Amino acid sequence: MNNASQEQHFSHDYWVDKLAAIATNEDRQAFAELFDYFAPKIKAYMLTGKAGYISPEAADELVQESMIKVWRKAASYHPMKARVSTWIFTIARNCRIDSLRRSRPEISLDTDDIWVDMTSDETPLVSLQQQRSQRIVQEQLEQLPDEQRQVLYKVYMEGKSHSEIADDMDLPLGTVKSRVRLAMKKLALTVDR
Amino acid sequence: MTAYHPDTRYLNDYAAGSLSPALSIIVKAHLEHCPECRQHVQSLEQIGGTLMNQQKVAVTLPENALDKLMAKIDSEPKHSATPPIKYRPNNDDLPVVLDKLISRPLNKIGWKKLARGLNFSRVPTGDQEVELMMYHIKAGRKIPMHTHKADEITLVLRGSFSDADGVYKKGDFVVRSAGEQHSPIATQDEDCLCLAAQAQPIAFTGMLRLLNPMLSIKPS
Ligand SMILES: [Zn+2]
Repeated sequence: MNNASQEQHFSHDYWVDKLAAIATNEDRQAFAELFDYFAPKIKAYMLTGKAGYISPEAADELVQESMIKVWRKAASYHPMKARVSTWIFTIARNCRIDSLRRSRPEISLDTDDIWVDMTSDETPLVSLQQQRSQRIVQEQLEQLPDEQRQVLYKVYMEGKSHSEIADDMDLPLGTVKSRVRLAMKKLALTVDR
Repeated sequence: MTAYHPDTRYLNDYAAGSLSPALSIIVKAHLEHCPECRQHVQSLEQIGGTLMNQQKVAVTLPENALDKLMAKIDSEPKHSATPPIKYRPNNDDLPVVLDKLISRPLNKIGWKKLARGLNFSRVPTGDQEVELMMYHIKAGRKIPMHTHKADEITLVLRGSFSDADGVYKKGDFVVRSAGEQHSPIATQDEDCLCLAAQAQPIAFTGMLRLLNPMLSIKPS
């Protein structure tokens, strides 16, 4: 399959429509398409987590948990809150956190109480300005120099702290911090305070 | 409006889901007060979504994965069949994440006296490295000068306090680096309630040094 044309074909709106079909008609065909496209990405995400070295079977289980939430919560998706890929990321992220928390002593909080997974009403609709900023993130991520992109990959996909990344890449901590800072600047995510 | 916010490092790690439980709880408590940081986190999550989506994926799923999932969906009762238990706050002015965590009224959580006008209560989070505490400071009371062996984060929940660097109000997220000395004072007209996260017990430099063992409790 040609990867580039595939990405083009599956535009943001394409997936928004699929989610709407699932929400209104329990459309299984739409869900199957969504599954074929996103489930392998979720599995790769699960396998790359640092606490992981989880088995492919355990990763498959987390894919099932994530996709079942996609099916159930499709109605709570709102295109003004997030892109479909971001919405699914927050669901997968919370499933991954959940699986790590299971080994911890019981406390009276659900993972979703600490990390809002964007299916929640708490997630506000975004302003036009913010939509623009989300587009910039998407476009600029691909343009980032490899060394900056790699650091963000380790933060978001592998779930590593700055000092773990420094160890990993054999870099001084300050270099990792400054790469993150530069990347944030390029993505226009620097907050002036 | 809150004036003091978590920096990007905290928000990045929070959005990535890698921040420790106790720190994530205190960040979430700030987010409930701060629409600005909520929006920022939403944008950061976009990084995660985009990176996940742009991955060059080389993994495969078991051939029957989708069938198995649909069978599971069909076998379980629909979401609407089991309405979630309605959440009733015990302390309705506290951030929901904290109120749920302590799950009882504030006067029932077991306070310990640290000094005159200063009480604290540990909040168990299951975090092995970072300890979460609540501090109650009587109006106008000054906390003796102390230093922190590790970074300490304080989130103001009620009232306000000040130190040499500023005045901190409800929702403010104040970070004190390891080694910094300070002596906060609660504002005259109102008691101050704070949530604090610290990696290690704080060390009092002045006359309160004897009380230190009370703070040297191992993180739960
Ligand atoms: Zn804020």
